[in-house]
Amino acid sequence: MGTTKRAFLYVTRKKGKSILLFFILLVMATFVLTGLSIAKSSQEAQRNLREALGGEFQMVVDLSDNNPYAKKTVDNEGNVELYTEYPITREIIDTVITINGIKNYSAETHTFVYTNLDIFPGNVPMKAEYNNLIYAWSVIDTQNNNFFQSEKFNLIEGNHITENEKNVAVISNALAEKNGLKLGDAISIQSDNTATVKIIGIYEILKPDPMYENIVTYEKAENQIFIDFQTLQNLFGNMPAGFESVTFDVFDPAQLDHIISDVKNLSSIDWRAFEVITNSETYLEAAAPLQKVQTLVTTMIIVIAIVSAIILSLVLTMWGRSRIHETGVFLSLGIAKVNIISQYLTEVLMIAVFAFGFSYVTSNTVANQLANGLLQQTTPAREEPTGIVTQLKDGYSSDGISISIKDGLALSDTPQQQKNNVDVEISAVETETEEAQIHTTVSIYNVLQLYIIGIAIIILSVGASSLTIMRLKPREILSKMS
Amino acid sequence: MAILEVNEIQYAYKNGQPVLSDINAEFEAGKMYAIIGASGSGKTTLLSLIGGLDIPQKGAILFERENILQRGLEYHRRNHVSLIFQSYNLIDYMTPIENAELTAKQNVLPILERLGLTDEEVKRNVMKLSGGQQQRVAIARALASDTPVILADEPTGNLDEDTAGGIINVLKESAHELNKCVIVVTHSNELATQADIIFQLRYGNLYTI
Ligand SMILES: Nc1ncnc2c1ncn2[C@@H]1O[C@H](COP(=O)(O)OP(=O)(O)O)[C@@H](O)[C@H]1O
Ligand SMILES: [Mg+2]
Repeated sequence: MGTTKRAFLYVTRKKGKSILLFFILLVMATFVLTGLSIAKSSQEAQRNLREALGGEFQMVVDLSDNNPYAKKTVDNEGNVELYTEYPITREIIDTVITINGIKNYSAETHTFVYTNLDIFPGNVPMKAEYNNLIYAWSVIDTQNNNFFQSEKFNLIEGNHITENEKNVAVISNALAEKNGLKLGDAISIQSDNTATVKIIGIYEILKPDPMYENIVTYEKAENQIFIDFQTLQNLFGNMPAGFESVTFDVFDPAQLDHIISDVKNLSSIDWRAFEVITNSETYLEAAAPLQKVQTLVTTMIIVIAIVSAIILSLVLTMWGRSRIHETGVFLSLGIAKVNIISQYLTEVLMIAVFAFGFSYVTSNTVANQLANGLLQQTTPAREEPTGIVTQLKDGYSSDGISISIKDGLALSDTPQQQKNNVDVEISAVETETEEAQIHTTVSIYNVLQLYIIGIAIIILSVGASSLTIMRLKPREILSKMS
Repeated sequence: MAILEVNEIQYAYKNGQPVLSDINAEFEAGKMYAIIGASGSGKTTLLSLIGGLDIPQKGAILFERENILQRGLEYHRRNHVSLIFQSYNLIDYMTPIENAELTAKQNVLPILERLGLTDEEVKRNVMKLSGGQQQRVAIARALASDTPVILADEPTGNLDEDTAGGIINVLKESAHELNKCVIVVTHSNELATQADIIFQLRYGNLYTI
């Protein structure tokens, strides 16, 4: 009679033991399978969250002493001006975006300009000569610009400024109304040179300036105008025009550090002139609960596996005692020890096949409840459930004055204020409700994993429980039983 | 010609008196042997050495002139000898048929039938048979395994006189009709007289009677 038949007879005739073993294995498998499926789901959830959140880093001109291209001029009124002779050019941007993992970018530079427009006055008194100054944001495209991305502004008429467009502008509906302007009308902008641009788009302000805050004229939302990069170059005359900051979006925030280090290794760029600013807080905060679930679940699986192996070993050892007689008989019949152990193993495996299969049903039920329970415990209570970083780069610095990289036009307050203003803008992705959620379904892959882990546990347990019996000589076993 | 030879065997349990001091014997096919001796004289010990359950400290056991250690005790137990015990040693979750089939090299039904078990009995739970019937199942298992030697240790120890006589007859038939070499250990002189050759074990030595 073969091993399998002996095992089959044992399993079918010793029904009580078989049923008990079935339930032990079922509970064990349900735990393991639940753990496995939650682990997999939280992995998937992490990946989805990463993709939904995205990530970004900013490349900005360094205006400190570290930058050999940075220049500082003080005019006879004491006004300090900082600028660089090595701004972020289109060529530099094109080099950076060759790095894998960068989704898109938005570049901007803001410059003080005079216009022929009637503008909205701020509520902070300033020297008369500043009263007609406003910001012109030169961009590659307005759609990717942070004002529009963050939905502070929304285009309501005409088109966005797009790449390679020349001599165009996008202004606010308020400014258009005040000046009786419509799409297609021209306005005049003046810096070193004067440029005439055509209005191709009009935006509305979705998030107006707070009423109670002090806002200088050039910071008022209504006064912001957007121009193309060519216009900027025209305004600058012979000086090299470039961007003071570029925001690069990446696909996977988990890769952010890696991408940045790749970018910094680009030898064609002189990194003394720039700084890279990154903020992975959004991603890290949002992913933290899921990461905790993952760690927890991995630990759980290991603990469950070990506990299962111990319990199973103990049960089998206990039962093995009542099988010493049987073992002795088999040995006296010349049946090999290996053959006997493999019978005991086969018995457990036969039951395990059913128990593991049935655990597919039970763990599907358990997994969902457990997964979300775990997540609730690992997510700190707060109004915004996944940690949305709310500090957004909105183009308005509270100190008021920004630095122009162009000679001649930039007007500033005191040097201290400037210092505050350099490179302090930290941006973050705005995510509305990127909530960490786990949808758990037990997959066939998990069941396969369960079989591998389960069989390993069973082999270990059967091996451990057979040790005592198998060390005995047949004569000893037979004399023990008589 | 002897199928089994026991040569100058010595055996002592760990930290105990020597049980067997110098055992010599030859056993032939087609004959039934009885080994008698007082309780504790070493009969079971000797049988378990012949049965390949243990190894003597000195001397050798030859099966067809070859030391049984040559091919290993497991091989010896599987192919040369079958053991029958006082307590039957059947597997409780198997029917008589299945018990007999454990090491069978031939169809077990005719054997069980010839040993007097009915069609119904051979399919019953083996623990629900009488002692005599259980011992017949054990003998059927030995016969079905086709080993030339059958070793029986007090096979009738748990049985009443009539049943015991039946079992001894079955063993005798196995020797005479099936050409087995049957060695029966017993403390009953009466049963021993059924054997072709009787040995007595005393003070660690084997004497022919
Ligand atoms: N496992 C053992 N360990 C130590 N001594 C044993 C063991 N088995 C038997 N003995 C001793 O060996 C002697 C022979 O025993 P045994 O062969 O069982 O005798 P018999 O079968 O003739 O009654 C006895 O004195 C017994 O006490
Ligand atoms: Mg005895």
